[in-house]
Amino acid sequence: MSALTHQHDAPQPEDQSLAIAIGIRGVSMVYTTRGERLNALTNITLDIAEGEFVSLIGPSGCGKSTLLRVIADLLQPSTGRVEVHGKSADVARRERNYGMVFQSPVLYDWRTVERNVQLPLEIMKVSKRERAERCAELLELVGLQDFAKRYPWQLSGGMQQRVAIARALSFRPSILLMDEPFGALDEMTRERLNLELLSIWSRTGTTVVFVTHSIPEAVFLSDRIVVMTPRPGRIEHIVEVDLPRPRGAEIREDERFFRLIAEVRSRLYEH
Amino acid sequence: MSAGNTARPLRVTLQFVPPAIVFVLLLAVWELGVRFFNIPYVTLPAPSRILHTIPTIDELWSDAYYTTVEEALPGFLLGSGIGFLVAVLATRWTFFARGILPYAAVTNSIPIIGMAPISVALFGAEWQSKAVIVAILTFFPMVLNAYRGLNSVDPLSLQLMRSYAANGWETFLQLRLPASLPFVFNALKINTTLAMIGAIVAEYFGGPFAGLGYYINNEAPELAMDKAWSAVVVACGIGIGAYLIVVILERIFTSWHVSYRGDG
Repeated sequence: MSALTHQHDAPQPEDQSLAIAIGIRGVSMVYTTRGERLNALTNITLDIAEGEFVSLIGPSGCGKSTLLRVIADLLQPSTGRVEVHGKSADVARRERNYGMVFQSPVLYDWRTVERNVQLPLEIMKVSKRERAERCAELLELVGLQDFAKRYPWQLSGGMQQRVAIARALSFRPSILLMDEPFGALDEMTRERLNLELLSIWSRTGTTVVFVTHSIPEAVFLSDRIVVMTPRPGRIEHIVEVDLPRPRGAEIREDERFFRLIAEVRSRLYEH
Repeated sequence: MSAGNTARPLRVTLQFVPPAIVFVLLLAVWELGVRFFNIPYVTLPAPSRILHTIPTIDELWSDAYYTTVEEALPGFLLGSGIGFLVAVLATRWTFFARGILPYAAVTNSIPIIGMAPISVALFGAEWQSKAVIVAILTFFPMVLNAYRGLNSVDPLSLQLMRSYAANGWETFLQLRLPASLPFVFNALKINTTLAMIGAIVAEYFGGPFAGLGYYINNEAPELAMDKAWSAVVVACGIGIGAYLIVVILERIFTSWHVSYRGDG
């Protein structure tokens, strides 16, 4: 399906030995605003393997965030369906399979950092002792153990986003859905958080669907990059990222890294 | 933060300096004006005369107690409480919001002076009729502010709650309620003042032979202006006290809010 000649060891959904975490089956999304029909998504079909890191990339209006929200059961598709571990997206959400991270951290101002991280656990009726344990564990994972008692507004944007990631992982969801989580951060912070995210991902084994409009970010992080085009939103191409793992900062200097960036870019502009 | 902590008491003190200067200047102008122009106390008593009169009126304290505790407080709690409840129901059910919110606005346009004698006819001459007036006065500011506050939540916060499969009660308790608090306290601040005004004015229109409004209404026609003014000053003091209590509670419960943050 791809013209790539690279070798790769990224997980492949075609491989029968790998279980499918997310199966998107013919999903279309039609909005009607002021009598005008808008095709946000057209006939999207995609399988994402368990433990895979998949990025959705494309210009504004290509429906990448909409697709993420359909997977998360925050939006209902007009046609088609999403299966998560063989169950419907609705059941998957009720069984708390989704950890969400948005572009803004959406922390609760009235809760300290540790109480923000514990919020999902409180809602899920996890015991106080276990909440404290997991929170300490997660704050260490994102390097914020010294900021547990601070309030969100006392932290920098990058730190706030790390709290949001810790909160999303607190209840050990099988799937992490991230909607341009580092889009509002400066380039240096973004690159550092990219590295941290990869290390968290490799330690937790979570399936990640990552929406971005940054090509280098998508290449650096992903096993596969789903290139989407607008009007109507559909999958233009899927780029396999064959960079070795674990990936460190030095891979950004790698010739293969640049070649993949060029490949994604050409797919984006080709349309 | 440590720099903020040491600077804070000074900053708080400085906050009170400008209004204190204005207050003292105002009293000075009043006092000197009355003396200079020889204004008789039946027209306008000097501040010093009011200050000396207050301790001489024995019934002032029982009147103040009656107005505040028997009338203003129950009315304040009733109006604010029902107002908050209506805002919660309106947030929960859009249908209810569409049905009731326009009528909540109508309560705001009720001429309270016209309503006072009617309330006496309906609820009797005792404290109940005054408390009802206060409740009507304080209802609308609470509905308006609490409804805005409960709906001031970021849509992403709601999506987050949905992703946790949180039910409506948890979403209310963990998200909408805390987010509404700054707005609710705003309403409570407005309502402390409105409650005192409502109770005093309601007493002008028949009722028990007690209360600050009743006292003012008795003394003013007798030209005992120093006594009438004394009751006004006491009412002001109670109003300011109640307001400060709400401000202290606000600081405790919404210390996280933008308006109270240090330099963090």
